[in-house]
Amino acid sequence: MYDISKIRNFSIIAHIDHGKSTLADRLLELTETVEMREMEDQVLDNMDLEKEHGITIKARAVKLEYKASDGETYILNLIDTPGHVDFHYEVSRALAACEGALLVVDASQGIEAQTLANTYLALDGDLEILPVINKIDLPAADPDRVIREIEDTIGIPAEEAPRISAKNGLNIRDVLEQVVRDVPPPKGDSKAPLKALIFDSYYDAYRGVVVYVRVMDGSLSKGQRIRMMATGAEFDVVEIGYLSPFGCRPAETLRAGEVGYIMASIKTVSDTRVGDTVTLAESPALTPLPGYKKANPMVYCGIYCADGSRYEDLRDALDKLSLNDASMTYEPEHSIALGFGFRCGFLGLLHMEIMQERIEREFNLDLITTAPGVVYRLTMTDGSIVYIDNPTNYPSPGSILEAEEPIVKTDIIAPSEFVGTVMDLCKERRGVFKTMEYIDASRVDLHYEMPLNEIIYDFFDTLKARTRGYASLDYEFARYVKSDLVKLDILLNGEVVDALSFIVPAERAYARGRKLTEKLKENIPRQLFEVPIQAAIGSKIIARETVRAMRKDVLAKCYGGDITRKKKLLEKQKEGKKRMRQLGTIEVPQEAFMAVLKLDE
Amino acid sequence: MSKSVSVYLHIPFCRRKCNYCDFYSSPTCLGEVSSYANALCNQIRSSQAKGETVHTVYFGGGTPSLLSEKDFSLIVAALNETFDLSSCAEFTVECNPESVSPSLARTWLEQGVNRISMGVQTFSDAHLRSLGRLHTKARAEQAYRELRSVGFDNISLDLMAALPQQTVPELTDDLQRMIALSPEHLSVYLLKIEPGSVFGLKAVPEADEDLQRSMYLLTHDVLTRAGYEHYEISNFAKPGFRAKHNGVYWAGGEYLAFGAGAFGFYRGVRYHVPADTTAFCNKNGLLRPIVDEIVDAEESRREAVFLGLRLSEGIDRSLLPEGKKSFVETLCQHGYATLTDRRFALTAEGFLISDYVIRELLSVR
Repeated sequence: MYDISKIRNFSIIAHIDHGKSTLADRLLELTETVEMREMEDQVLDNMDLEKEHGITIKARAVKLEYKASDGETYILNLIDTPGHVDFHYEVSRALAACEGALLVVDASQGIEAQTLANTYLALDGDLEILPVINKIDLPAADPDRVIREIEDTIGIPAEEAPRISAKNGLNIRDVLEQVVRDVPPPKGDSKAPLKALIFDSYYDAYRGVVVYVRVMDGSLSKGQRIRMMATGAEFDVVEIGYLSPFGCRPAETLRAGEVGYIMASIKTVSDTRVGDTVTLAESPALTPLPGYKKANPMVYCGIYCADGSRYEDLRDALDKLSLNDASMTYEPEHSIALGFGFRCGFLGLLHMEIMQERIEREFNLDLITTAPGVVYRLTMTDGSIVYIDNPTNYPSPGSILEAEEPIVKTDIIAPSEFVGTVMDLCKERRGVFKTMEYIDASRVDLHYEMPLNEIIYDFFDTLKARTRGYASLDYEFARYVKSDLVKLDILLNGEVVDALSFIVPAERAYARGRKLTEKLKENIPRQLFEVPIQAAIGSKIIARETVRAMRKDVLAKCYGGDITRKKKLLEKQKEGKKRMRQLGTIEVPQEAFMAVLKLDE
Repeated sequence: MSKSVSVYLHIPFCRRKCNYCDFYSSPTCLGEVSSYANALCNQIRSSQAKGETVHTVYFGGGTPSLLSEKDFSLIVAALNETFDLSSCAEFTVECNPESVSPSLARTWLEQGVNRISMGVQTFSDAHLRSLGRLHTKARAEQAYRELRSVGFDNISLDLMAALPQQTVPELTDDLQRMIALSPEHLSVYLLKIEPGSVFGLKAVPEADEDLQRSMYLLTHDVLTRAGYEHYEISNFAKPGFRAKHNGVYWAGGEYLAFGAGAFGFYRGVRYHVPADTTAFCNKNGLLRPIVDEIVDAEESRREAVFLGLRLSEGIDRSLLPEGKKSFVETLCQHGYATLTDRRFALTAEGFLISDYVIRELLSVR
């Protein structure tokens, strides 16, 4: 019953908390794809972590069947998109698999930077944008204002936008009717050579990698041999099918316009890169689909086990997680202070935090992570170019001809009353102002170019704090720019602690060195002797603090022979102690390694 | 210390509970004290350790000086009936200045008591009031003279430092007055605010750590210069007058527990008598003791470290755990400890951080 004119492929663009998952649930209910009682809240978000973060980390898709008011039954493929700045590229590929997108906007809050960025992505991909005004049941809802805002900012008509409450199930059918009416059916030729776009994949312990594709041209059947056009890897298709909310529903053939999955005994997700084109090995397409790029990590940090003997467990955890996430890189490294660990690369800060949390939770490991850093590009005096992702490996200044740091295009949307505040913050963080647009009378979209190094350095939290939580942020790599950089070392008791070194613009070195030594002083408990904490550039000390020697730690009384009580007290004191790391003769709590990040200047 | 045990008797009565105290005690009612004394006698006579040779006896509290002369004599008689006290080296009674009298002191002396430990705490009347003590400076000095004139030649006085709002000159004055009285033994405690005490409930802050530290080191300097040996974290003695009973605790020796709330250690078991005076009297002293822990060879070794380091003699260096060499070196290097061919011992500076040192030495990394 394949009829390409009855297929609608669409996704939902929404800011965190604007109700994407709830709306997805309602759509599923209404199409009776999911029985009410079977439904766990928000079936599309199936990882616990996602629920806690309130965002969708990895895209997924579901096939819905909907009997529309015209009497016809339509196949609706809902392709979910990751909702965070770090997954910009993955969003773009998920959108490329669609012909339309629902733009869900909170009736009380209006458009956010993230939503806008993704909407522009969708417009770039010629997607039909269908605005949906959600949460109209809220007392603060102002749908008319939000509709004007959409029309003014994005320049698309929004007068007909369904006004819904996903939470209360209000006007959901209107949304589906619009999808059927306004999202164009896919174009594509089932007879042409196969071109299927990979928009997601995940690793299943029993079946290997499961690849999610949108077939653009041609068709694919079980048993055929496929080729990944970017990586060149080839596999025999073991199973194909459609995606239901409860997993895979096998089918014989996937044809142009359809969305489904492929299983082909693929061992690692790195063979199935998002954005790559699947074709047939026998009769391959001449050119791949446009837009593929390898997602490169932008943020790096060192990850170590608090318990050094669990290094192998950490490796195992990273191996397992990378099966599912090709965008995380890791390679072994050794720190004098922390022992053996891994230098890991992530798409962004949130990606990093999520992965760290997953390692700790799913593999029950206590981690010490070093402050995140970016990749610097150095032109050496001998003309060679090196990329440095670990401050420890930063060469001596004499051998560097020119240092460059990554700059990102930054969009910040904030209420207009905070424009001055945001501008001040961006200026503090070496931001270069580009342009600014008023979305409406009350909100502004500011465009900056900023060093990525400044953004990973507590920027988002500070931005939120200074705008009382109202500002939203989106960024994207722009280019490398020449920068006057120095390596700042931290010395404890005269010894450099490699794990605390970081790269900083020369103009910031003094202020940051001072702040960091102060912060470390707060974090490092008193020792048996005075411990000097110094910040140094090369051999030059630029800041110094001292942790004084321990004063008193004794309970003099012996409680009338109650030795047990005394012992228990000692035990209790021991438990109350923070997790410590021995650096030479000095005990340093694990928090100290992250102190670099939390410096309010 | 040959094969002998010590005896601890707890007299859990106070006329008034001190503001810093969270030890077990009940308000006094005279009839109750007598029935308690009877129960105590019965508990002693029923002891499984019957026939043991007693090394030291210690009446602690609470306030043992609240026992009447008659009750006291009855208890001592019970002890003599049950145990062999003929080679008892030290027999201490704790008392408070306000409840001691020449007549009571004479009774104690006649009954074999040879050491008195009196809670003076401070010679400042203002601080005494703030601590909730019932005596005054004048009464403390008078009580001391009375004990001397009755014939006690081994007296220990308790002093507290780091009292709320106490200044260094005030402590210096207390120390000078102590030295002037010239007791054989002195215990000096830094005030600790216990959560269950009146101070704790009123959230009285502990003195600043720097101040506590200087007061502790001042006490050490002043008393050692006056001829006292700082032989344990909180204890000072003229040569030959170290507390033998407390020495049993620190050496891991055995001691029997009598009376509600008393702690004992016998045949490898640390135990206590439930701290319930009424139940104790009702059961005529035969409350089932509660086992706190059983000390095996390994634990006994750990205890030797933990208790031994309280003493200026320290511990045999063979007791130092493996793998703590650099920590021990650091301690010695910075004057917290000394290490000889045979012994490892803390200095006065080391005493101040002894809990930390013990935790580190006994922690398994």
